[in-house]
Amino acid sequence: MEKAIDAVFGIALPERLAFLLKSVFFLALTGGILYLLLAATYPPIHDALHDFRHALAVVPCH
Amino acid sequence: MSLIKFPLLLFFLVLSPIITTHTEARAKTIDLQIQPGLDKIRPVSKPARLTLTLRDGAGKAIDRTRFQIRLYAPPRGLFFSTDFPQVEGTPLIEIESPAFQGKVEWEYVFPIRGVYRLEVSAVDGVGDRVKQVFPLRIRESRTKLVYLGTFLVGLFLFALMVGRLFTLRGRETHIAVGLLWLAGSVLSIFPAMAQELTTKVPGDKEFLVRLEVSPPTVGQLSEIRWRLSEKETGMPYPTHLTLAITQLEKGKRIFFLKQIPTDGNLAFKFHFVDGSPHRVSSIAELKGRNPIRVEKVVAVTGIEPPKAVSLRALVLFLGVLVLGLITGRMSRRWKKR
Repeated sequence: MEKAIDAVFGIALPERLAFLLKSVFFLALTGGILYLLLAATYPPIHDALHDFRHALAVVPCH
Repeated sequence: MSLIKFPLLLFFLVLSPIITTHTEARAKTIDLQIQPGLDKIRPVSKPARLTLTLRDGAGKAIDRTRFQIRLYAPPRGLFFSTDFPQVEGTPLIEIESPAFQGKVEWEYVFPIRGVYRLEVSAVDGVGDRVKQVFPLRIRESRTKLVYLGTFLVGLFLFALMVGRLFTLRGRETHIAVGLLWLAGSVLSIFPAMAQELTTKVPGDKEFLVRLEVSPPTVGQLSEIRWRLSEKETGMPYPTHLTLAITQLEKGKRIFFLKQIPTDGNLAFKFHFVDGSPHRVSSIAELKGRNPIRVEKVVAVTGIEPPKAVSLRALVLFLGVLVLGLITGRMSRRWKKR
């Protein structure tokens, strides 16, 4: 990611900032996937993961 | 008798019938027995058998008793909900039933963890009313806790690896993204479960059975009405009734009333907590005749949980991921030193 930023903007990111940016990207992506798998109401996803959602004890389902 | 003792004697003579009646009324107690014990019952597991008996001071069951029973679901927790948030804090069963051989017995599958509130009011043959409230604590299923723990540990280890990779410069970043997609695809292979069942058409030459269930919705009580009447006269026919409610997806019997005496009618309220098809079946036992069985399959309208409640669980999972990332980064840095 820092290479891409360096190539496009010509900015060499400090290691800490690069880690932070990558972590934010990672958490956003993981959060999106988790939302899709555990909270989305789209029927095919819900039906496929219904039992799994109930099995986690803290994930609400209908 | 002295002037001081006389008023005291008069006082006790006047008050003694009141005190005696009060003591007798207090002596009657409602006895609740639960099989298996409360500590062995888990949500959406094997049904618990609950038995209510009104007993006199000597511990003897009082016949000709009528019970009013109300069961309430546990209130919502401080932060995390259960897997059935719409059920939390709502009434689950409201039923009025006469005792059979001095007791009322039913089977029920408790849907969620927490402290339930069972309110019982019993009226005996002479009209004395006894009320009692029973708090029932149901603990979470161990299997679910193991699944949750495993899932959290998995998330943590995954984030730890990613955190270590992110701490390095360069090529390892895309490996982390690849791992992310791999985890997503692994999670999505859990299979769906479905089962189909048919409904039987009721029929008897001399009796008419009507079983009605008001359209059930998760989060609300639904009314179940059963009536057995003579076909010619239309009059209700006293009988013993056995009634069961089965969740069809898993074939699990969640409620069972065994042989309760009725005057030909039974109406009660029940909360269908799962938005899936259920079967309500009744068996009327008539003396010298074959029992009459009637079934009805009802589709329960599910309600999506509030987004705020869903997000709380996601906050937990993201918190574990953040913890994993930080630990991964720190572990890499420790290694460098």
